[in-house]
Amino acid sequence: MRDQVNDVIRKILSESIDIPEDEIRMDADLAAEYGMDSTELTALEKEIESLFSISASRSRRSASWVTGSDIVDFVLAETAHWAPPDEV
Amino acid sequence: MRQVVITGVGAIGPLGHDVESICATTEGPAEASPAPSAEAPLWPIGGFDATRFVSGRLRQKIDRFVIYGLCAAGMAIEDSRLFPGGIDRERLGIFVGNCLGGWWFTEPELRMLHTRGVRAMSPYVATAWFPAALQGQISLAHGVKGHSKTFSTFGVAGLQAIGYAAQAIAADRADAVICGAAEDLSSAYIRVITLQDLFRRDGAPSTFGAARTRPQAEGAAFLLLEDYEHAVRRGADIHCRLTGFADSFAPDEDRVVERIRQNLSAVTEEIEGPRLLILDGLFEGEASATRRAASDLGLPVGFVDSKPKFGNMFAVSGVMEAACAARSLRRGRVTAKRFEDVATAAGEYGGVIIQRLSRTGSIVTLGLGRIDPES
Repeated sequence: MRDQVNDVIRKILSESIDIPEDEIRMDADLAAEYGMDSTELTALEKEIESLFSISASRSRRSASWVTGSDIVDFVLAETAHWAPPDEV
Repeated sequence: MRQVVITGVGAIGPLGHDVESICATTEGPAEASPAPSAEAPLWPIGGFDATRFVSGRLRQKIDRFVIYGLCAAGMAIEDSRLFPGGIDRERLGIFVGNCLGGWWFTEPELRMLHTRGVRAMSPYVATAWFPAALQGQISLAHGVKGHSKTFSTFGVAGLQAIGYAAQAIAADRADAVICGAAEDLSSAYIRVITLQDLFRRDGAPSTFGAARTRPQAEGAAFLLLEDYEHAVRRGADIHCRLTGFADSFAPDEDRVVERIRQNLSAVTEEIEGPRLLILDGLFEGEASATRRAASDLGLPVGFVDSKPKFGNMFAVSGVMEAACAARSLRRGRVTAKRFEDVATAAGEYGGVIIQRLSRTGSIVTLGLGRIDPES
């Protein structure tokens, strides 16, 4: 599950900042390394909400999104209660 | 008063993706022109690659009219060879015309608002939609910090942007101004309202007589205006000079000839010999009123209507013609064929007058003249 979410977030980040997927470092500071500003993070937040059907508002996030890995952790935490399809 | 010249041109439209190709198209015989069918009500831009001027990252945040505008402005700046180091960016301004705003970006976001709520909307809607968005993005892209404005006055906005930019340079508020206009017609909403307006207005009365139906076209055109002395000091190639600008208003039909006459008088003083006058072309009464005004002044003028060739480009209308005229004047003289396939005005002209009108009575006039090779 982690690998799948990691790949999805990497792809969204790649499209958002227009850098090839294999050049995205998931542990890098998004603001310092890629110059992402708060509006770009808000746009990213909306895409994640749409893709994962979760609320990603700032008030919902216990930790700030500094790196790509922070976003992966958030998505995994928000979807942890999801039952696998065969258990539904 | 400082003399204002054009040192750079850039454009994109249905006829081509740069000024050279647009002019090559308009120079050729009518049957060779790749222009869309005259019967089609809408002429879009096809197959344009903006990556040279707009990154994929920025493209997600802006509307198409801003993309077209950034490309045309970028071409004009490249043509002028103003950067790097050719100017103090505190003395470089941006004057833009745009009527229709950014509906290609906004329309799906409004659908999102009504179907999924405000939280689903893009945070870039506010900065993508408004007509001054292009001015802001040009400023960010090129670090421009000088006197700047955006005009949103329908079909006269682009010519006003040029004219007031020239006034800013003449008054020493700037040494150069990136000025022009951009429009995008790709949104379904814009297509519906502009086409409805077009057909509703066909034959409707206005200050200048009955309105005429013309194909609508999208695109952008930009000029680099510069103080003549500044251009000479940095060794710039000068395309042509501005001979005058006039922006007036005719409150009723009785005042139309008088106001056109005043405008023509203000822009033609410095042009010697015959001038080519590019009419607005959207109103039945314009040509006869303008002929009368020119006759009253004893001006030797040939008349053309560029709308069948260029389409109604809203704010871009007039700027596109100015870009093509500037390119011709740099090489010597302008022919009527450049602007109208079946032009009745023969010969060559050393000066160009561009006239644009609004339904409610605005008359905006710009004069361009060639630089005397002896000077």
